[in-house]
Amino acid sequence: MQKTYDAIVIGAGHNGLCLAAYLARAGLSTCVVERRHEEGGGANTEDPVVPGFRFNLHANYMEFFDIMPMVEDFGLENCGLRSITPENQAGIAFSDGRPPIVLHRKDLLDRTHASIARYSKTDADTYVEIQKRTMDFGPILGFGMYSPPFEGMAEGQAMLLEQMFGDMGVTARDGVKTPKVMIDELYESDEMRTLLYRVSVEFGVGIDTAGFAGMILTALPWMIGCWRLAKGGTHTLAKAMTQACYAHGVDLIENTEVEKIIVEDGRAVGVVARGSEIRADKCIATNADPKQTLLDQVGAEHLPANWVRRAKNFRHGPSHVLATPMFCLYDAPDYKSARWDPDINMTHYTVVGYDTPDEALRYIRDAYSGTLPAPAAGTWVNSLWDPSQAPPGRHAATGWYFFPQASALTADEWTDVRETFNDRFLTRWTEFAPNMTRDNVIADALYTPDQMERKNYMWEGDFSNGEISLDQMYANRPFPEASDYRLHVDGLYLCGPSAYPGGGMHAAAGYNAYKVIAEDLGLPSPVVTERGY
Amino acid sequence: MALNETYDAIIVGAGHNGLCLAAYLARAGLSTCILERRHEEGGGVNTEEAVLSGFRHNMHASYMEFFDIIPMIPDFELENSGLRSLTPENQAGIVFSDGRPPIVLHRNDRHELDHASIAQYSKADADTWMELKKRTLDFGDMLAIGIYNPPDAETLAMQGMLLEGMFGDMGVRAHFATKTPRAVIDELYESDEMRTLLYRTSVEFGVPLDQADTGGQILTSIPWQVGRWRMVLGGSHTLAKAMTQACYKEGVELIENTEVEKILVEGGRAVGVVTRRGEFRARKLVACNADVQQVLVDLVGPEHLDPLIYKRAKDFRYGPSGVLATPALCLYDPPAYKSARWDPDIDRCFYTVVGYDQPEDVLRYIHDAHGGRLPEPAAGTWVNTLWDRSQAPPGRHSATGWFFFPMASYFSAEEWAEIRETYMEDFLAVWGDFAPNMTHDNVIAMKLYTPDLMERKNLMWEGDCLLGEMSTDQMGANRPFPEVSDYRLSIDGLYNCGPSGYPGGGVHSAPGYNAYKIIAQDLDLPAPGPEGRAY
Repeated sequence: MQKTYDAIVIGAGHNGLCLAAYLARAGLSTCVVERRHEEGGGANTEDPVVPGFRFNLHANYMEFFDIMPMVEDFGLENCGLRSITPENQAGIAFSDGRPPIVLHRKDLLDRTHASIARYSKTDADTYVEIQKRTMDFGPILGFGMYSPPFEGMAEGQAMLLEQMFGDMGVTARDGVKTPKVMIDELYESDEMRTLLYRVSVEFGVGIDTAGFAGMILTALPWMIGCWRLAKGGTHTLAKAMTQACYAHGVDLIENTEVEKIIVEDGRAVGVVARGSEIRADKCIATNADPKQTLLDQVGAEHLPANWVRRAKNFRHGPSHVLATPMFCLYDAPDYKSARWDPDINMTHYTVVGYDTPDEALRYIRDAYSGTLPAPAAGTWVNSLWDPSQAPPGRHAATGWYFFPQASALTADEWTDVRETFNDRFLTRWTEFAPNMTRDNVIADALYTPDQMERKNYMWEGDFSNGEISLDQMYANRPFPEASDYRLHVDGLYLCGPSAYPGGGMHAAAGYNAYKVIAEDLGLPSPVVTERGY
Repeated sequence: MALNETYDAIIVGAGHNGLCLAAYLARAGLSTCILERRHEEGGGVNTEEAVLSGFRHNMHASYMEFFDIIPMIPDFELENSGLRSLTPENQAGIVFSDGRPPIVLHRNDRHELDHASIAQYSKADADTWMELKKRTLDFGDMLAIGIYNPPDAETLAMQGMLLEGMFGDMGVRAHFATKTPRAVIDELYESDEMRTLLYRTSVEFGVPLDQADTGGQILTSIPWQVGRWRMVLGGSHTLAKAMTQACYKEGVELIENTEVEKILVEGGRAVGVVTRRGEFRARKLVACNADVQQVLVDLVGPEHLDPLIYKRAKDFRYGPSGVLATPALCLYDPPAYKSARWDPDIDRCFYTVVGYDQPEDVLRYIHDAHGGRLPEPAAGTWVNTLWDRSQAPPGRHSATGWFFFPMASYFSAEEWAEIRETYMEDFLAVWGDFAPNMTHDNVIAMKLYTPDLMERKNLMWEGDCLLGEMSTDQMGANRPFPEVSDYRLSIDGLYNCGPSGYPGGGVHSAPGYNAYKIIAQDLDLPAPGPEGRAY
């Protein structure tokens, strides 16, 4: 095995794979060193409950395939990546059998309007209007995400809000609001508010987090309509990326945890992994988080005091902390609300467990503050569209519980949660879908934040590996001094979700890290002119 | 969407045999695609974290005995594609609940230590084992020639002569080949302890104790392989991934999540397959890693088959001898055996037999399992984290084992669910008799993977990891049945490349390699290996 490369990427998460592919295409001999035996990090699919029932344990819905440069640049669709965009994208059901709300694909705006209008014509008009204006938001979002962050970015986004929605009463100053406030200002019906509270959280925006109100007008309506599921499971994306890496000669070295980053004369020159050295002539980039990287692997002796302090202060959770239930089912859920609109039984993402906005709020606030919330979830039954994900005639359902961060409970308490919480959720689910009794469940399991931390070093079970708050977002991510992906030590870069723009299946951190490295090393730019980024 | 895609070669199933065949075909210049039902490649070459994150378990294949002879490893430089392995210093051992000394068999470079270990019970047994080891050190070449060539009834019939040639001066005659493993073990070894260990090892290797015509393995394969057993660093799946990488390098297309529903036969020739995603056409061949019964009965269908071939396919049998269940345990500490006070090596032994104090215990166990009764708990066990710390969180350990179990169809789904919930407790109670620290307090979590689930996961029917019983009538040139033992499945352009072809199940990829040889003959492709290699 070659022991010296031009570039070493630490971690084969999807960002690491993305960066590696671009580096290798630019002619650098590149290796990716991964602790686990599988690539992809959170782009993961397993069948750990009963064989044949597949579950995406982390990332589930895919909203960025249309704008992700790597999909196009490396022809991932020729490497096994295939996806489906379900007609019914997001919905909410109610326990008293009220009509559901179902938000549809963008080619079906009339149906979306009719569904919301059952509760409020105003809300329906507002939502449809916003959706129309965000139809072409993809390239703008792409440009924003797939470029390194710059000072004044948040302010620029606020200006954009006013430009796009000024005639609807939105001003640039609204940008500092919380998502909850924006939702409440835009929508009057309880049902729409409940749905959007949850969707907002699902997308990674804490509803009480100031400064993210704009997402409710832009990213959120844009993405509901292009949610896809990866056929075969999310891991297929990781595998397609890996194949692209192989095609460009990347060495992927798995089962190999990096213990140390070697710094000589202020320059990162290699890593120590499993006791032996791998040297890097040009750069080292890490998909891991800056805390682990700077404090454990580089060491304080190579850093200014300010950097050590910043790394120590970088925060994980509480807003992106998930648990994933897995249910092997005989039948898909059949909701009471379906008598009004059968589409809710064939909806990609269905919110279950909240009858009022207050319940959603209490849920989220409990989870964020360390209390196990009352059972509720956003749910997916991917086997409705992709029969390969369950045995013939059966269904595989997952969901996301937002949960307290890993350290909020002891190991024994998490064990207890794993053993009991799904039962509690099922009891609640049955109130919404009467067929979701124990008799309909072949087997189930719950994957908790402590397990996510262990599996992927998503600290605290935080899938963004660092809280998404204004002080840790945009040009403040992970902290101002490191927001250009350069980690103080020459030749050392950040390419993971703790860099801008954070977690999610967009591989933007990896793409942006490539741009910065390309600048430093005089490599070709990845920008495609027609694409604009 | 790849509708009506056309390739030269289509392979059904991305088990290791399918991957092996695909790599050779693509290297020979054929456009090749593999269609796999699951979302992961490798079939039984599988590693998962099915219990708790960070604790890895090989759910099927665990020890690797063929790495020294698998042609694909050098031919495609798999060691440059992430394949790394380790040969633990202590290879196979047995412990006892009364704390008697263990027997430990060692790696070849220290196999002199075997003698003292066995001699604790019988000097004669120790002498016999050492003599067999000496004579089988170079058996690899012969074995490779045997398994990496299509079966030849005449050569195989000479096995008895081979045995007599190798061991004649030890009293072995050609008729030893007709004996059962148990008979050979009993004739060679006198001590209960050595017999107990070898009974289980024989079964582990896929050779039932009471099956006639397979006793030769006790003289050849078993002593050859114990001493060179390896584990794959990172887990067995790393081998599958290295093979996949080799396939990619050769331009193979691997299409996952795509189950083949039908093999298209036109004018007596296999011309493609039907999947949920549409048709895939094959200009030259279709080869199946899937088992022969499914292929001929379900995917081809009787309308295209000679009635005799159809009948043979329906008569092909699965189990009971290759039917496994895999316990997966997440541990604080590795087992500390009572027997270790005599020899601490047993606590660092790759494969450790637990649960039998005498030969009769193994016999009863196997008879129960093969006869459809749940046996008293006992297992061959592995704690791979003793050597590869990547397989568990720091300071923790992952243990697996193999239970031989009744076939999947012996029990109802509810009964299997019940077994999954209760059997591990019973096993742990037994394990605690042999290793007092193996109490509940030492177990972070545990789970049992049963034959019905193996059937579901990999279509290993009945949970038979060999995909077809390894009996004389289904082995050698009779595998899967005489008319198709040359990997040609009676329809032009349709080949068998999976474990229901000779030489059966096991991580050697020999059916894939041999299928390539046959296809190469039919299509005039280059030989697979470097010139001069006899296989």
